[in-house]
Amino acid sequence: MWKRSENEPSAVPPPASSAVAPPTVTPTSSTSRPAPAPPPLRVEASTLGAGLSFNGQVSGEEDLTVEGTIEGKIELRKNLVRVGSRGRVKAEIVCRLADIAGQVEGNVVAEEQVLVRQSGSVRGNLTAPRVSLEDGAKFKGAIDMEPSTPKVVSTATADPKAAPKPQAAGVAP
Amino acid sequence: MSWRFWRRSSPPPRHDRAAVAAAPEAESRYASPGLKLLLATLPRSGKIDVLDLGMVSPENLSFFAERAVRLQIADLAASLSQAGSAPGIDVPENQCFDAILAWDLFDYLENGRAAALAAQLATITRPSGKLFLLASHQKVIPDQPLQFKLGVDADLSFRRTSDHSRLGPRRSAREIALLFSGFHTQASFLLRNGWQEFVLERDPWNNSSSLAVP
Repeated sequence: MWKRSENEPSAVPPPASSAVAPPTVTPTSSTSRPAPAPPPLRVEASTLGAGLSFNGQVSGEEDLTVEGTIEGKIELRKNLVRVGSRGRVKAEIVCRLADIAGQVEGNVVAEEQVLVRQSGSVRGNLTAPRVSLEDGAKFKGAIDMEPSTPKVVSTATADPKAAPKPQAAGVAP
Repeated sequence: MSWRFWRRSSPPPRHDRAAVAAAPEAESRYASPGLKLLLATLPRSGKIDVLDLGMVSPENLSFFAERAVRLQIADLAASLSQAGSAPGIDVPENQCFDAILAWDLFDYLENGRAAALAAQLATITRPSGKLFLLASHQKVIPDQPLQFKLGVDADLSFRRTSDHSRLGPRRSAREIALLFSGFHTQASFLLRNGWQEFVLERDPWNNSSSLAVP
């Protein structure tokens, strides 16, 4: 009774919530008549799969999702670079937005924002107008913060408990 | 079953005194006089370099985002469990700091490793730079360093990262002063919550300091 029809598309788990909007691919318009061969889709995002590794420099004007391994340099100044939870990057990353849920070893320079998720681990320096770190994220390195712009977005929840404040029993310089 | 019978038949639970005495609750917060002093004495103009030896915390990032601060996070807690030499700090060459947040990390180092780390910190602290240190004066401390979070008005909250406990070193103020030979104690605050806070100030550079002030 509850078995799905084989023609019915299988349920797809919703993507993980992200502060950075994922790249979207606009579907082609559907018509009742059999359509001619569709024009090739414009690929707006590329993914390096979990079983792949790349050594060298990546540059261009597309968003990139890394689930595999990259060593070298990633330079996508106008785009999003997402490092998935299985991704490992040992490279300098220059991008517009960085969304890190995997492991990164190298400096990250983002024009707009760097987000390190709870499962993310970064060993390197972060440079961006906004840096977000989820509670539990691992980070070792430097964060340069300029005072003129809003920078850090804390994603930790406020602690519900607040112990009474103890008083200083003595001061002994 | 009457209440009285239940009371007699059920022995009271046996508390492990060490566990009961073990310090702080899972998460607590207090007004930190040492932190207040440290923040008040930081340079008010120009960019400030701060080294945080503890774990990264979003709250601390937010706190320093309000100020002109370049924050370096060393996250030494992970390397403390490795026996041998003092945990190393990866900082760029000739990098010096105006303030170092050492939190409770020195409670987890025996004297030799603690002295080695203190000597390393002395080489990367600017003259008159500050070091903020917490030392527990309780017999039993958590097994792992705590995670500290800065709040408004120098409020400091801390959270246990381990349920286990261990004996604390309970170093005296004099032992702390001897440990940090490149610093002198600007102020210390003995608190009723089990902590003693120290604000140490870096002595002027001497010939033994190999680094030049950038």
